[in-house]
Amino acid sequence: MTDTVPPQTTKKDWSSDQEVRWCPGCGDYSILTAVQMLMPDLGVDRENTVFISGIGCAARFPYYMNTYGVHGIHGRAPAIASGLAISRPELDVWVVTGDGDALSIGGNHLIHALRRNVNLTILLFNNQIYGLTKGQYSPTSEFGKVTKSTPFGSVDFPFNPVSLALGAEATFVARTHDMDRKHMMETFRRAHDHHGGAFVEIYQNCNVFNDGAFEAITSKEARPSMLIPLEHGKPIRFGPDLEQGVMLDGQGHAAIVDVAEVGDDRILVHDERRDDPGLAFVLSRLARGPLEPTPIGVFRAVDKPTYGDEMTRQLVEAQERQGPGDLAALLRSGATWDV
Amino acid sequence: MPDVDSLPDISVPFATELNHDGEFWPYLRDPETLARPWAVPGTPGLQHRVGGLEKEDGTGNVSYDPANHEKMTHVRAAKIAGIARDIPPVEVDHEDGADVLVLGWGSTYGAIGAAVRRVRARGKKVAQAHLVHLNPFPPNLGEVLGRYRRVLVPELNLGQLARLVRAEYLVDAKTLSKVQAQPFKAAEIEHAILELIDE
Ligand SMILES: Cc1ncc(C[n+]2csc(CCOP(=O)(O)OP(=O)(O)O)c2C)c(N)n1
Ligand code: SF4
Ligand SMILES: [Mg+2]
Repeated sequence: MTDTVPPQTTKKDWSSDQEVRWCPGCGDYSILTAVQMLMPDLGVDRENTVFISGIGCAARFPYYMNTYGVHGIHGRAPAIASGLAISRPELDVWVVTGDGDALSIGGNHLIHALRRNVNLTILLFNNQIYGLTKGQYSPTSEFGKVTKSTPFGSVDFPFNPVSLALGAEATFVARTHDMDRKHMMETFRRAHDHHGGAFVEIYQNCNVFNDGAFEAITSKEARPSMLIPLEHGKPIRFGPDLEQGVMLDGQGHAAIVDVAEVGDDRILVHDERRDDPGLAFVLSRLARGPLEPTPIGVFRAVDKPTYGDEMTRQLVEAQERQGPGDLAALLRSGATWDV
Repeated sequence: MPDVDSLPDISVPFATELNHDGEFWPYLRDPETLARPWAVPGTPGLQHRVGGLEKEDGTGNVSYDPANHEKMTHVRAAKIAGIARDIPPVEVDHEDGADVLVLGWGSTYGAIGAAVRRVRARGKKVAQAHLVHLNPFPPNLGEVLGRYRRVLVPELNLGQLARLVRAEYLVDAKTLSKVQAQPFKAAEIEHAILELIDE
């Protein structure tokens, strides 16, 4: 790693010359713009930045970044990225994935990468549908959803990606949405700066196969009363006049209350640094889907040793104890015989 | 066990320089092996993207051109086929007068060898060859197969190698199949060889 300050760059320096091929109006464009605008501010070099994806519309993302990139194997981006992040700790490794890619075929890879706290920044573009394959239901589609593959309505109960990540004890978990560039950029910056496995769910509109899935909470008019911003150290309040708040009831559930009715001091103060993910999980259950007031922002940000740091430490310690590796000695260290 | 110093150097020379008129083209190819240059993350100026969408020959740009896709498919097949140049020719344990070849691969080696010894102990002629490489096949395999009247392929499956050999070389190879999660017995292969010799 060098200590030199990366040269000043602009959004253009981070944009590749490849033609962006998403449907006109797709939410993926605004996420791409937010990432490309953020990169110059992160103090990193393009050659030390890698975007790794699986398969899907979202997964085309790496082609559009002027960085190293891998458009990888369906669901396996976290595995490819884990190997790279662990073996090359000086790199900045990002994963871009969709709700199908991350939670259907790649469900296992995702939870294990998070559980291991691999130093990755994982962006999950959640449009609650398989976009690329033209509109089948996904693991985040709501119960009853009629799609090409569920003509009579889905009978699956969906994953809540934030709950899932918290259940895997991810050390950084956040949610943002494609209609608010500033919020996306701030959330991505926090995720990037987190040392460890950072998970960001982005509500993303697929205007072709699932148009308006998040409109009830992300449209400009709806936001003040339907999005609950989580800010560390601040009471969780929302509404046009911050007249609503979140309170814990006696049963350990979070409930939305009228602040004037219950009093300021009963409103939950958000603490993203709590070691126990339980309360963050409770917050993630506040909305049953993006049709009710929904928390956005950082649910959890805690420090924990990363997989890569621990592995490097073990290697260094083993070499200090036993000296540098000697392949010839290793080969002859056990019983050998000729055939 | 080999002396470590005698092992060949298989380190990969990574790309570090622009390779085409002031640009880096990740899909330029070594004219002999057809391998692409390999620039790893961390190499300044060589940022590029690899992955499942078809790429334009040379530049590595994402390409939706049908003709380019067909060309690239041929290039990839030729790259794999070219590995045959680095594969040692298959060796045949031949006996003068043998017109039956037993072709095997993998863990059947011991049982095939025992069967061949038994046949020879009976005073009959048989040849044996064992494959280490299946794709591509060794460069001389077609010529070897052509030398024998009959080819027997014992396999612990339904005959996958035999199918490839038939498809690739138009040889009427005969399958001896066993799928019992048990190895071949030498006697089973011996019996099949004798049938072919006597047919
Ligand atoms: C092994 C494999 N299985 C299935 C598919 C088909 N497939 C392609 S993309 C996709 C899901 C895409 O959904 P999502 O991850 O939500 O991405 P989006 O297109 O919505 O951005 C599926 C099932 C595939 N390409 N490969
Ligand atoms: S199908 Fe949906 S997610 Fe895919 S590019 Fe089109 S609008 Fe975007
Ligand atoms: Mg999707």
